[in-house]
Amino acid sequence: MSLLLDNPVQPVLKMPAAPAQWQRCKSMADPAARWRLYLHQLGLTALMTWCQEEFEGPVLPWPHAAPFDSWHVVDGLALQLGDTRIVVILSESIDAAELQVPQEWVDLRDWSADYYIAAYVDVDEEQLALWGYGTYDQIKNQGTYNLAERTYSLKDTELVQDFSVFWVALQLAQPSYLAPDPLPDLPAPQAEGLLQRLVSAPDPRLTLPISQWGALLCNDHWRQQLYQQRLSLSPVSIEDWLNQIYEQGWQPIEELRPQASASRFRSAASGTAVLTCGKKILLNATPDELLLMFSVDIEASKRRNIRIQLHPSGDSLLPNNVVLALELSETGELLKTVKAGIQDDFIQIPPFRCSAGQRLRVHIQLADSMCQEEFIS
Amino acid sequence: MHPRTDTLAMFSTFATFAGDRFDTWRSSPPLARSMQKVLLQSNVPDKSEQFWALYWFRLRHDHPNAPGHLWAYLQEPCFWAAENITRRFTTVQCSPADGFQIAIANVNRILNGYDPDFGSSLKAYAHKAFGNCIRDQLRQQQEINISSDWGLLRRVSQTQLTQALLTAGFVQLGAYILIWQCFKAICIPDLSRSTARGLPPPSPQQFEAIAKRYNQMCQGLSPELATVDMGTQDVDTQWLAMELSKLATIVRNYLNPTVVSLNQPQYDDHSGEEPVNMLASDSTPMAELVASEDNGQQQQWMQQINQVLKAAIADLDAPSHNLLVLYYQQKLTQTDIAHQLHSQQYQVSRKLRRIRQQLLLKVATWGKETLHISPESAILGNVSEVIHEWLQDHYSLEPPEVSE
Repeated sequence: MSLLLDNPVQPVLKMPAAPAQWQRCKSMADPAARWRLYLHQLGLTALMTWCQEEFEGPVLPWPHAAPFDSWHVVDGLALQLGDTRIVVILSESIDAAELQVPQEWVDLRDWSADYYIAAYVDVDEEQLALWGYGTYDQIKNQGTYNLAERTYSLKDTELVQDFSVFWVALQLAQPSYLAPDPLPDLPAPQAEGLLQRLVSAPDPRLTLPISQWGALLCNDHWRQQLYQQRLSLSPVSIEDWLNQIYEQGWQPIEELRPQASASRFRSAASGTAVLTCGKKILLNATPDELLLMFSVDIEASKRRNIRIQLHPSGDSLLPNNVVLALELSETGELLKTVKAGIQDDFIQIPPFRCSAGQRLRVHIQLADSMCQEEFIS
Repeated sequence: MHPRTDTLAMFSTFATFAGDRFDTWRSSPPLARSMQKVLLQSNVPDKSEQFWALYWFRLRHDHPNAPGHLWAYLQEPCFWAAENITRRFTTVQCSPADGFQIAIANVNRILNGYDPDFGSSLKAYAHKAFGNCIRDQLRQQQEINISSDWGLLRRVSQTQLTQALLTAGFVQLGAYILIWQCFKAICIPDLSRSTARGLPPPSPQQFEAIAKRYNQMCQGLSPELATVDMGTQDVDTQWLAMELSKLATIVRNYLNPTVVSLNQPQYDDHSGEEPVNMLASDSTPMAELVASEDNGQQQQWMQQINQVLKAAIADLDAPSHNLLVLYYQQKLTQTDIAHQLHSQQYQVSRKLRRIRQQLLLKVATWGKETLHISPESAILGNVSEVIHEWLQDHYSLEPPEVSE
């Protein structure tokens, strides 16, 4: 009695495959996270269209337009419909008999929602079917809490399985509930330490006690950091670039910047470079993106000559004191570090030679905001 | 099938089948005696079937025979739902008798889901709910038939997996569930190579990654999460590959359709065994009173809704009205309607949903203003069911062309 064939009150939305997005998700080393990112991207497109057709007010993804930083660790797609927040849980389970909501969406004050919607996704049929929903009250008071999974769940019979009701309820009812208490902020050193534990954990969601995990997740900066660091777990490979495979946001400089500035970067880098690749980097401490750039020459017997540079995104200057550092991944040994002054329009690690297959890490840091990129020469 | 007209029979007989067809109504003597008794004791002799349905519904946890009477009563809606659905959906092989077997197993679920407040009659509710059970089963069957064993293992729910393991005779499930979770975390479809439902067997590298994750998870289980009891020894890849393949087979065997014997008794009526603790004699009048009040309220409510809906229907434009005729009167599937109107199934679905939304909004607004009924989701859900049933009744009574 859950997801039905041919039922007008359970909307079936088109959810076309997106090969380009699938390729992009491949940069995520963790397969489960990769799949979740892909499904949530497809789901978001389908749901945005549907909500905009059905709802008269503004419809926005929450907390921002592309919440990869929450999707990669937690199931659930949040949308803000005017003052109402809904969380759609995508599931591929054949029986579609249960709505299972991660605790984060219920018990974290910033994350909790008014309505929770069960969606069945079928990537082969390119469909997303909405088959039931429950309110915050229902989830919190009637839902079964599963300690091992940290989820609240409602059975199909406890859900309203009629979406004509949903939109009418949205017009008529004022859902009111007691918001959970906010979690205390974590001191920066503690948060850093916890992040380190999570970066290589098999399942970061269930590694820490919920109070610590929740505090990290609710903080935009730490959540971003976790995503960035989990993403850079799988090193990018210069060998791939030579084969024109670009992942994790890396792009050939020609695609990243229009011709004029591309030639500027190129000449700044090296006139003879075989390959110049760049990636946009966002540090929380700066409003603008920075551009990390690699120029690589291939020498005899597969040796590389590599030059690493950091540029501002526009024609401006680099933020004062931003640090660019290179270290050996295996040992963490610091090889070279440079810091920007007040007037620098770019900084660089001086060109160095190394053999192919070396694992290296680039650090970019400004105040307590940091990001790193792993690569294989 | 010939419908039962006698109240005694309605609450004490069961459908039997010969092959794929309805055969006859078989009476259950204990239920017949029990029903006879309440009919004789009743203060008002000729109460409607709705009254007795509510009467037994209210007593279903308190009277030993109540479930049996309800089970008997719901035979007819179950039969008609099976007839209707299996005729409409021909993509999966399923006879009306099969449909009946699938649906009747859900009586308890349906009774738990029924809410007489602001709702419809038990019979109408059950008809729809039985139909839903069959449709859900057919949809799942379709999916199971075309999935690979590994595609199936990835998309089975934990509840189904647990059931499959229990059915196969396993007792300690923790380790298996964890293996399965690790498999799901590693083996995602590579969409450039295969479909999701056609997931291939894990590669040697994937088996290795699953084993590694399994060992990591076993070590990393924090005490609060360590509900799983398993050895501390690391498992090797070969063992894991074997166990995982076993799981895939168990799930496949569990989900594949099994032939249900039509001769199995549907309801254990303890034949010949007279229930000793029939009921405390004074509980009958009270239950009767409650049922009678329920029944009265329900009828009044239906009359009021009828007024509101008639007015609302009259306001609909011609295309909307036409769509309702095709769906509720001619009972076409949405796909067939789309075909007739040179439109798409999802457009038909959306239009139907919009109409129901419009009608629900009118009834809910009326209910809020005149009866002060709170428009919360659960109540609106009941009202929406009533509207659906009302539309079915309304359009099955009206000749096709007539519209005001």
